[in-house]
Amino acid sequence: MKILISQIKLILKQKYRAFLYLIKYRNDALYIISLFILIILLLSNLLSSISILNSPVMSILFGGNHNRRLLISTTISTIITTIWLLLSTIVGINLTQNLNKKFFLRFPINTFNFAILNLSTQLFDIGLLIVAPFFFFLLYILNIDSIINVIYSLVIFLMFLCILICTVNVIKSLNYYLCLFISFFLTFVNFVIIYFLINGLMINLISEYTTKYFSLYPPLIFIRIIDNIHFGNYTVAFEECAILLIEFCLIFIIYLFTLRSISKNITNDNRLLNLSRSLLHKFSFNKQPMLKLLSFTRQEEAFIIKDIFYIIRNHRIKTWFLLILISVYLISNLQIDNLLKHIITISITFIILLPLACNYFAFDNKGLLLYFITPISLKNVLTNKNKSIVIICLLISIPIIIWDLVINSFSLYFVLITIPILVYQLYCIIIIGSAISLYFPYKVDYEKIMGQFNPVLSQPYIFVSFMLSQGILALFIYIFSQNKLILLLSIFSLSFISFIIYSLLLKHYFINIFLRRKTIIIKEITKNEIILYE
Amino acid sequence: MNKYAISVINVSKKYNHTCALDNVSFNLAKGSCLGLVGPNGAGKTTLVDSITGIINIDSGGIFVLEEEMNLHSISIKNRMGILPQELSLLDYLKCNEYLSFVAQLYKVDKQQIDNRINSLLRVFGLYQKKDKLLCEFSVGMRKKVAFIATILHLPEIVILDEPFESVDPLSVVIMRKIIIRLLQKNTSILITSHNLDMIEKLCNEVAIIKDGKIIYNSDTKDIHSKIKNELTKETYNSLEEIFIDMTKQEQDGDVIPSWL
Repeated sequence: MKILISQIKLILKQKYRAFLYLIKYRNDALYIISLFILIILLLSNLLSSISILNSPVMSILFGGNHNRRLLISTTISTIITTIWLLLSTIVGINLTQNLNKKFFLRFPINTFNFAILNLSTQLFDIGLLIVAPFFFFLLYILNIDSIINVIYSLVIFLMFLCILICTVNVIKSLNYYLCLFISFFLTFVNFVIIYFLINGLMINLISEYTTKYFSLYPPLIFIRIIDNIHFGNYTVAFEECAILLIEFCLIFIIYLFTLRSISKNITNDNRLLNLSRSLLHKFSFNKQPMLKLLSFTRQEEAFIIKDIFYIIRNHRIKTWFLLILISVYLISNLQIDNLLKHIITISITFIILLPLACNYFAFDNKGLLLYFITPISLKNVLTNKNKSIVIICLLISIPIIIWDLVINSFSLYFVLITIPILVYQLYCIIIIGSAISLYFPYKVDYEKIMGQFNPVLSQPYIFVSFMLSQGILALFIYIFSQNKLILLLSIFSLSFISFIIYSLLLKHYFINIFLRRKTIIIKEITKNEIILYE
Repeated sequence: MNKYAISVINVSKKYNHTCALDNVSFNLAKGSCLGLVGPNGAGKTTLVDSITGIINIDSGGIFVLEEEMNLHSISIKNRMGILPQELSLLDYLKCNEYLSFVAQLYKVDKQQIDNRINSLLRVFGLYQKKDKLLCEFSVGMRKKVAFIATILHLPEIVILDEPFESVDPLSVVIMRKIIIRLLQKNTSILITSHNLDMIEKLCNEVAIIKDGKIIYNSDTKDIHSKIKNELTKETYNSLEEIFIDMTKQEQDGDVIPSWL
């Protein structure tokens, strides 16, 4: 019993520490998703407030109960519960990743006690301790006087608890990205529960939705969102957003399950295994038919092929790819000029691909040492890495750009303007990627975490620098957009300037920095091991 | 023509006022094998990293195959095979992909790459696992892969930093056989290890490093003629005895806590 208590104390301490170091424990994907959710929730509440204050239109969300106090409480509760669930997810992930189970199993604790230990620590989750007072405060400000409502609320509270325990347990047993999805999904479920709670569990949501939203085709929903925002029906627009969100969640879960089933099949089924082998064989080190055409040296070829293999096996990049597709899809639905839409698509694609270039050295991990002991010129390491980044970015972006060209109006002018923009973006990605990976060789990824401060510094640097580059592009478009020919020439000149800046100035500067900082880079990389490919 | 493969002359290296190497000098003759031993933190890995050019030295000179060694000595690196203590494996490449990648960096003849990789993988019993990612390999298996990568291009100088650590006894025997074969081919080898028995059997020369200084450097065959006690004229029986005698001052190894 004493051991059990001491273990509980230990885990609680760890959870408390995890909570305190929340910023350090964050993962960029989780960070983006949590921000995304919070922004949506805040925006929805803001839009609802404006809608209610400006017009006496009945809304589904608030059932005609135009009460400012209710609005504030909704906002508070949604934010708090969102943070709670995300926090629990982070704590769960960290416990799985950082808590050494073998350490506990060395002690004379039987498995049953270990399970109880886990459950008890989950019940005393630090997130729960924070949320519980807020929850009861919420009940107080909602003036729930009926005993039945209080019971309902308690039941919902217990549901929260179950969700939390399930989340943490599921996280411990499943794929990391599935966990992120679950956190995302549960946040939404949580919002729905709050919605029921605020409306006194009386609104027949299903009938409303079946009559109102017969068609769930995403582009139609998107158009309806734009329409509703245009006509000031902000709450309806928010509801439509929620549906769109669910649809994307479903797509995401289908994607994840497909991924899992494929990987499962590949390991068990010989036919699929052979198929994947034969496909990869086309890219094998001995053949390299595609790269031969581009006449790279053997070492460059080896670098590029190695990086392609790394990219293929990186789950995070697959998620980025999905993110690009979603973004491109959303942009394609915007009611703006086709050319602008096309340029934004390319920019967004490269913004999402940017972390790839910023992790030049972090991807190689301890393998970076190989370049220092093998007969490869260190001057070429950086340029070879840049070449492979360019090839990988082209491989990912060209199909997206072609798709975008096809769904938008395809013309020679569009193709002509795409080329310099692509070149410009590639140079931007190389310059920013080189700078970040030289000064923050390991730190851009938020995977391994304790004592790392530089990610916080480097993240704004990435976005500021990239936004600056995009700003220059936007400025060019703005200034020269009056005449199509001048615009085309100006963007060509922009890409040419970026080429000159990189090849005449920055390339040699970066190589010198690399040679100067090599020891620091090796030290950074070898002391921090990252797990990118679970 | 210089008979030394590696010449280390008065090399010093400091890390934040801590002297990692203090005026270290020794030579490794061509076609011979030098065993570098020393307690933990004595400066073995720093010395190896200096020789391989991974770190810059503060003073002195390192000459490898008659050329001064630095980080940019491509031609020398092409003739060297280095197994660092911190294994330089690319975790998310498969075993055969990694070895092919290394072979490409060393510009091994394309026709020979597969043959060399497969034969060495078979020898170490890793052939069946060649399509597995390196991150799925155990520590010992990773060491074996790194060893294969070191000798894949038939280097003239091989530097092995703790090659036998975490490796199973059968593989240690195979490694030893390979090292002997390389020595027969006039390859010069520098090994650091804590396996003193193995060093004694394998190397022609041995050097003991302590606190960044070479405190003992001699031929292995002279170990048994080194006098242990001047009065009795007793000689040392093994390298282990010399090592314990020379390094024991700091470690109070004789006194085991009474509660244990």
